[in-house]
Amino acid sequence: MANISVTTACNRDCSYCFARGARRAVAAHMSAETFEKALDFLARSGIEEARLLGGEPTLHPEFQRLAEMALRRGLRLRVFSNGRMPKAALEWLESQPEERVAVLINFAPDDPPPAETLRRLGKRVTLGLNLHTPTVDPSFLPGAVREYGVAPRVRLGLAHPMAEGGNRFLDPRHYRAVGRRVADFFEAAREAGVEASFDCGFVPCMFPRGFLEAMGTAAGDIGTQCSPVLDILPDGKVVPCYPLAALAREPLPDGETADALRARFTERFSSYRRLGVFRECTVCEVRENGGCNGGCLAASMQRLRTAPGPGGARASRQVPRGRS
Amino acid sequence: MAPPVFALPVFDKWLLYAPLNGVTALVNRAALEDFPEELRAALGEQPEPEPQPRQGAICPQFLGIVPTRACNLSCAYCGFGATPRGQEMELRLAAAGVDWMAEFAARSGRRTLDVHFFGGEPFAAPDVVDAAVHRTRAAAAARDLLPHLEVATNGVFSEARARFVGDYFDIVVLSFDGFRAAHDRHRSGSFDQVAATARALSAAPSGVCFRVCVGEDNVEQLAETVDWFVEEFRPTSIDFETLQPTPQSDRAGLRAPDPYVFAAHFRKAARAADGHGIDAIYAAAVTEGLRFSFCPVGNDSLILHPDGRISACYLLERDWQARGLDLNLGRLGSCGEMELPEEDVRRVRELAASKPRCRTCFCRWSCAGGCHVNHSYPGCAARFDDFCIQTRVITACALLDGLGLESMADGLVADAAEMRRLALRQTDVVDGGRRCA
Amino acid sequence: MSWAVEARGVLLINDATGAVVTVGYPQAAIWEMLTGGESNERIARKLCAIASLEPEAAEALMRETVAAWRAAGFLAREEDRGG
Repeated sequence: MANISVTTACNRDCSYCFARGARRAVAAHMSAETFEKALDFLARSGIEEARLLGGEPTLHPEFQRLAEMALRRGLRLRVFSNGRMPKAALEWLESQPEERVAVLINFAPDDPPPAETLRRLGKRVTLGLNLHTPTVDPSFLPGAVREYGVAPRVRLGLAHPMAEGGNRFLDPRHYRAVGRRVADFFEAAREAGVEASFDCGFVPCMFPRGFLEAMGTAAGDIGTQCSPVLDILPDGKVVPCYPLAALAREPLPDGETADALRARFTERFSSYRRLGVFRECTVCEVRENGGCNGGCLAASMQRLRTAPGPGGARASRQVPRGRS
Repeated sequence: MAPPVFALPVFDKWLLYAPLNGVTALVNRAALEDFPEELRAALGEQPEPEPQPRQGAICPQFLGIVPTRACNLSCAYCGFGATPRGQEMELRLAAAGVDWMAEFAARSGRRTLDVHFFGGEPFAAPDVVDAAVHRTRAAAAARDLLPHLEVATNGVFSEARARFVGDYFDIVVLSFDGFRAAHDRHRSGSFDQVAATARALSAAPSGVCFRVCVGEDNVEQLAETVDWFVEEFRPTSIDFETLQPTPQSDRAGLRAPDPYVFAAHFRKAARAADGHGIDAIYAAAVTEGLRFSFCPVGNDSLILHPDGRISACYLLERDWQARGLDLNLGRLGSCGEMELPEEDVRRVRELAASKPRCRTCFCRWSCAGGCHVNHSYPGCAARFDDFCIQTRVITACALLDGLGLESMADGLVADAAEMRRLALRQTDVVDGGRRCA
Repeated sequence: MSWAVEARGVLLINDATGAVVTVGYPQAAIWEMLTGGESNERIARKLCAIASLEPEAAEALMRETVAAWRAAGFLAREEDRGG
């Protein structure tokens, strides 16, 4: 998979947004030419889904055109939205068949998306929730699924730190408190017929003992998901993921595939992969047995301290942002 | 003998609590006189055994180290006689203590090597702490244990030290009494420095618990304090302790809060903390799990002092002696020779079992008598004191919350007369005769 | 150089070369104290207690460890150490 960030424009200002660093007074929109190039990249990489992000992707002045470009290539379309979309975008999405177009709408309980949007898009919508503080409680989600008639699926995500700082993120020392809450929620969602899935960065040790076993296959790849997802930015640069965007970026290649790019980014950060989000990650049996790769790399790198290199000078390679 | 059932009046109802049976219920007067069938059945099930004092070989949960009694502050309520200079523990003695605890942990099949630091201010003897921290980590690594380090500190130290603390300690208990006015009045004008440390620790891997000393002057700000703490510093928990009057606090004009006022404001603070997803702790009112004692004295704690003495308590020896208590357990030599005479261990355990107020109190196995020096000790007054009162009210509210009766608990703390009625009962034990099948 | 405290010591990462080294005890304590700018005397004194060494052995361990780290490029040269 790879994400295409088509614009930096957004009509919300979420404290946890890891694209905050990209937002400027004047929004940057991906050109159709660059988007075409991104679609070429997906095609030769064997990726069958175009995942559109932002900012708020539906605010791109040519959102419909870009979306149709993707569909014409036989790709499925997945749009990551906050639900506050222009009328034209809503109408267009509503007109598309559910099997071709999906919309993941981040539901902030203190500022929910317009109910009309959710109802009109119906089963195209998967609700998402970003856990950026220990307070955020997903228990409202099954009710929201019922109320708005959206797909009986929800996606939970952890707010990760931007390497350069500037966003609110869930500190790993709060992971266990959040894990207990999520475990309670998961049971309730299951009973309500709602399937919960997890974005990257969740780690097995954050959950109560026995929970992952009880989840069975629904546990998916909790613990092993952190890998370069590849975010293609509006200017055509590719970063391993938004949290690490400040530390590594390359131009969208003309001939290479996603696997080659991923391998390069993986190698670039391989030294830091040893860290893990907790001190104990280096002696963790679950990790040693391949059951966890230590959680979010950006969160892990928050633990770093920096020291002057040989000769007192900074190393020529970009120094990861840790605490000095 | 049937385990006790406690009953407390709450407005026109009775809160029934049978901790050994795991039963909590709200009943009316009639049901109290004659238990309904379901209640009898629940009370008839096999109860948990009553928590007992420690027995057998000493089994400490952690090694406490007091690197020094010196402190870089002179807090208004501190009875430690803070001085800038004080005896500092020899590095080898600290290492010997750690080694003993490491061997004990490994022999006992534990997973962690737990070392906690107390003072004075532990970082007034920074080299002792450094040596002990690294020794702990080295000893843990050598025995395939995980180090677990905790420290209680005033947080008045450099940024470099804050980085060290944040990186090496698992839990930092930081004394932080709230907004600037209260904190500075209590704690030697140290607000700016402590806030800076709190900010540094908010970005560190360690868990951070803010310990708030609550007096008459800051009791009404507890909920706002929680909101501000969470917004600014993101601690993992906040622990509230009411001011323990000392000659120093009297001279400074500081007073402990009214216990009913504290109970009401603690409840608001706890709700605020819960809304932020963190815990507000009043240690005496923790009802999860039954315990014989939550005080280090009742839990085989080993506290190593700068002179090599080992005691069960980290308070000053003169404070215990003022109560006629001897909480010394033995001595550690700097070559590692540990002396813990059995008769001394037995004596301290027996002291911890002396809780005259607790026998008929429903908090018997949660508060379990509180501090064995300041609160429950042989010869202490038999009547409930302010600590008992606030503990009883807060615990009753916690039990009501557990039954989903939050609004009833809110009503309780808003009604001074009702709180008094609950808190000042002579006995909470229900006549067990009515429970006969 | 970047580094982080781990359960069994410290993890050193050379940002320029990507080389990673896990440093266990007692050397991890030397790293912490050196990067904290402590004097050799103070480090050696604490090292005696941390590693149960006599003063001469502690000083020798420090010298060997620092030399090895300089050779590996993890530490600045002596003349480049500030303060």
